Amino acid sequence: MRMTVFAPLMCLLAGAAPAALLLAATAVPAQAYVGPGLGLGAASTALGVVGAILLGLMAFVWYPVKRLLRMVRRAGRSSAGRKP
Amino acid sequence: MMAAATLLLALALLATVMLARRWGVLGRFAALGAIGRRSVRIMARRGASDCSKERAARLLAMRLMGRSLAAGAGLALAAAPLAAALALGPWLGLPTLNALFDPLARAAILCLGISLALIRFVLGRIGRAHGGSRRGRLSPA
Repeated sequence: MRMTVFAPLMCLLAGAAPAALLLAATAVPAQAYVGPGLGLGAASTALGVVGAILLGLMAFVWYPVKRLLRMVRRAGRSSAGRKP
Repeated sequence: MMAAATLLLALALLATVMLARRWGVLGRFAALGAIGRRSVRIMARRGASDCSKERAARLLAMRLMGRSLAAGAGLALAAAPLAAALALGPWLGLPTLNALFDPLARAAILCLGISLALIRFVLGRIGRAHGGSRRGRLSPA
């Protein structure tokens, strides 16, 4: 059972490892240097976008769900209080 | 060829620095940081109602997204001359990519930049001595 689960993974690793070695052996300099100013700017832009998404999730999802839960709880409490 | 590529690269770097100063790229990032700090402060505030927090979070999320996209776009536009020089150099037959990694070319660009900054500083001092405005300083601050 365990062999059948791991067999595709082992095949994948057996194929990927030589490919990775070949790529590492034939790599040329990437010439993708980013200076500190551009790097920090890009990082802070990405952090800003992520923060905006998190804040938007909080504003558009968390608070309405919280309000809904509170309303449901309040409705349940009031209906339980009315029953004899 | 290498000298022309170095000169093109130096001009592109100069244009990048000028655009970054002119468009206030650093100021945009400072405003982005200020909005992030403000949003954290508002979210951590106690005693405020959920309704007001929700409204503030909605407004701040939109503002933060807009400011971060504007800052990123400003940065990308300011870096555009350098990217254009690197991309168009080989097309024009100039080894700009090699000049970027050549120590001698980098030293020449450094000397050129320092010379230009000194010329600006001296011209600014002369202008201020003759009652001009406060433009042409070495530092933008």
